[in-house]
Amino acid sequence: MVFSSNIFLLFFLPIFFAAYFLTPQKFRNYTLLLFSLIFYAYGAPDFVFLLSGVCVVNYFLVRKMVGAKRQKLLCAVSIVLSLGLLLYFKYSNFIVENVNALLGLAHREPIPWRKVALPIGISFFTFQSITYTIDVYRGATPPSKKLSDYVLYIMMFPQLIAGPIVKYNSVAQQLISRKSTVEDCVTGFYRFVIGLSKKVLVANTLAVCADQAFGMGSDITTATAWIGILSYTFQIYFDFSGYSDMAIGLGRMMGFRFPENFNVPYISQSISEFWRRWHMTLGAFMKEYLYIPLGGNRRSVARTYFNLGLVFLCSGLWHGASWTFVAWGIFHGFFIIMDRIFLLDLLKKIGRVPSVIITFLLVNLGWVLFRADDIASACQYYKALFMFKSGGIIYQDAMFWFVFALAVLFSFLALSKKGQGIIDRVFAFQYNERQSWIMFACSIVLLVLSIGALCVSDFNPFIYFRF
Amino acid sequence: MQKGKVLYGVLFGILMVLLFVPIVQEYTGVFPVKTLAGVFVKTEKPQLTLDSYASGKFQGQTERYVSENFGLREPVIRLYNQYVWDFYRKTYVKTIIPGKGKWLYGKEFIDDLEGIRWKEYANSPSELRSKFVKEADRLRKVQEILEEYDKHLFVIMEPGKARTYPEYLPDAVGRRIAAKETDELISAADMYPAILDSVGVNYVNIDRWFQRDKEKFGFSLYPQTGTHWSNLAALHATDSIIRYMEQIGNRDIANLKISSIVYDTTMNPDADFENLLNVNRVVRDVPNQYANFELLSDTNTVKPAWIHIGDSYYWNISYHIPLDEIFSRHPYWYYNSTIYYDAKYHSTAETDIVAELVNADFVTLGYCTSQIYTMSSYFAAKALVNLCYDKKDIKKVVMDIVESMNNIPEWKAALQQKADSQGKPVEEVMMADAYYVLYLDPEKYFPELNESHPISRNGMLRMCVSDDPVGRILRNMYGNDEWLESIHQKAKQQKVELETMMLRDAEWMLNNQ
Repeated sequence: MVFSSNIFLLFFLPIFFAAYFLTPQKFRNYTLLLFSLIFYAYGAPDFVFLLSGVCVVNYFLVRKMVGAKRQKLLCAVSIVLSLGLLLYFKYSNFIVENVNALLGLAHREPIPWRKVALPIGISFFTFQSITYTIDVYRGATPPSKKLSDYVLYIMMFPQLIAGPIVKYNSVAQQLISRKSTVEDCVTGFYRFVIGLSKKVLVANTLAVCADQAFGMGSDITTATAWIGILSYTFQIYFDFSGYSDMAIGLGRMMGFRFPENFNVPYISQSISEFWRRWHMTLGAFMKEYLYIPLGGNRRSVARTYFNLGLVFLCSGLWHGASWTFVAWGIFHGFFIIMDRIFLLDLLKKIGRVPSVIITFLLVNLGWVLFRADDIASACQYYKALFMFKSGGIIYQDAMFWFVFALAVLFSFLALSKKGQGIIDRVFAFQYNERQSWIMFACSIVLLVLSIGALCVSDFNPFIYFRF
Repeated sequence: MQKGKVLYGVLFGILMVLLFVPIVQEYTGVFPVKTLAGVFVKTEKPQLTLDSYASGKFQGQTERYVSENFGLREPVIRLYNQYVWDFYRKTYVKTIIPGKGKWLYGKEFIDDLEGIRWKEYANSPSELRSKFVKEADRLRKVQEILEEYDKHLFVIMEPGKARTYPEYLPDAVGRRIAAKETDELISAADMYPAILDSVGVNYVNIDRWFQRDKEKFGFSLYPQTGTHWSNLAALHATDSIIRYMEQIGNRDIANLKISSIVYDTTMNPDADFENLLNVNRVVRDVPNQYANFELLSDTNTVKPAWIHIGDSYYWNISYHIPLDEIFSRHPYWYYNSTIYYDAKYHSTAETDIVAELVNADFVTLGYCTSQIYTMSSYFAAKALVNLCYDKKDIKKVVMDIVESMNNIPEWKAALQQKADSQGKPVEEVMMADAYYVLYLDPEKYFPELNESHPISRNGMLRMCVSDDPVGRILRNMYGNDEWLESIHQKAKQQKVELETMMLRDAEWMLNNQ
């Protein structure tokens, strides 16, 4: 079940909230847990018992770890359990495919292998499990007293599927005691609908052009290639940030304060800044649980670059088991290192607007790797972008161009102070009476339009569902 | 602070009520809603089983079912459609292309204009041409056989909105057409008349006439938001068809004369595409024109019988023109599959094609520019076979085909599957498919049909058009629907062919009356 589906919007959501608010405060976690399990079991019946089982094992493992003599070993076992799950489900197909390709080159028999299905949300499940283990190991937070609270932290339906990655120590207290007010519920709903509209009304519209462009192969013209990649650039932003808004909004409706995941990333003046604004919870996770443990920038310059490269390589691989994601990770890692060497200084010198344009262009080029089916297709697309091939832009209707213009506007609005002010006001969770009525009316209209759009268009899952 | 709490309390209450409105509507239907126009294949209510759940089939089906059935779906869709139409002149109906000035076009007509529609029917232009040549040749043979009995067949090349009014097409279409070479713009509307000419089949080209003279008409030949020709265009076309009938049939038939024109936006607005947009507000802003007309006839005027085989352009003829006053009979064979006449309809498969042809003076085949590719929907092949051979000879061939079906396990299995899905006995499906196979390539089973001028070996046909008394009785039988039906019932009871029963009755009448 995805948030942008009519079954979620018209049945799951109202029934859940009715049940949730009718449940006495102290039992609400149980209601939320029950609905989270139903939510996951509905979409992934094969895996709900496996993931729940792993949750239970991990919970007791971490409890045992606290104060134990072999704390480090138990911590490692817990992490290996989580990572092992990810490795098996997400990377075994990729590894076997590549090994078989090598065996084929050596004229050897391939390894017999039956493809493993990917449980939805496994990447986020793994990372949240790891943050729990490490936070408890480091003493940043005590272990959860109740198994149900721990399972709820891992499997809470708003963020289980596609984040944001919530660190255990940031919600531990909220899991035990939180106040869910009607104000939270209403303002959370506004945020949810903003996210839904970003996904359904903006991202899905842009996806048509992006899909056409990436499906054209060698027939693509340079103009179409550029409009295709620009469409994808805005599509992935509105798709993923839309999902995060929905998750944050749903959490807010229940009284949770989930961390923000995006901060207008396309106004970044460097790739380093981009990663502080894009998928911020992943960046924070990578920094805290990988980069710093590797030594961060406290050792030699060469080691810092190595650490950065490794972090981005892992980040690329985390997004998907494919060489294109590896290349995408390396691409970003390369520019992060270049930032450290000279690029950041250069970009500072040339001024804000040119820096934003250059960074935006680089991000666009990176998305080619992210979107292409394989490296060969990506190369073909790069060729189309830069080896001028005449011909017009593939036909797009007025709706596409309007939505495209809106996407550009909202992506770069924060370049001006006034624009940033508007964004801050809309996403503030605090409104005066007039603003609240306006937000409420807009939310209802956008919700109806989104449901209408879902009815007339085909099924459009979130891009980040496969990660 | 208190004020804020009250405000959010109110908003929270409204929100919870609103979230439950669709559920309440779905189960109570408390708000009346206007159903959506169009044909939909509805998803069946999903059945929850362990297998369907584990495979994800249940979930997929449930998503579709909910999307298709939730309460207030209709107004939500209309609202969204209105938004995309008002803001972007866009529709999600894949078969409709909005043009300039709120004009709506059928996609298949545009595909034909752009020279791509033929690709759905043939692998190459030469293959398309040979299909048309074969079809035209069969029609010519049918035309010649019918002419022997003073019956006349001709083709009506109906127009297409995109060809008649390309000026309202979206600019993108114009750009795509301009980017193509002339020989890439292959259209059946250009190819087929040339073939009919060369083979010698009679035809009236209304498509070309409308393109050439559209400015002279002084009224719109198409409604702004409909796909069929306008009432006035249909009127002019029918008058031309009648005049052509007079010319080739050497008969005096009532003509149509327009006395005045009425402008109206509401009267039978011919807005089928607009209805399919499923919006709340009326889209069209150009009024349609309708005609008051009179029939011109005199004592020499006759009322011939007319069979028309073709597409839905016929409806605008039959809606507005009193055909009963012009023709003695005028059954309409919709795509050669369903016969509409006298407020009744039935399948062509249940109809004796020879009986119908004998009973007609004029047989026309009319297809608009996007539908010519379907040719006569096997009418030519079926008519040719039935005019040339007795039923028992045809049945023998059909039974041979059925035997082949039984002897080829894959074929038989496929037919069994088809029968199961249609809930019919496999024997019935086999017979229907065997006839289909025969009409797909009749020359394969009746090689004499390859002759340039095949001789009719249908004894019944020869007899009923002869001047002897039995022939006259047979003609009367064919001309009287009730009589024919009673003989048909009697034939069924006695388990004999219709023709045998008719002959028996005709001979009995001759001997006893």
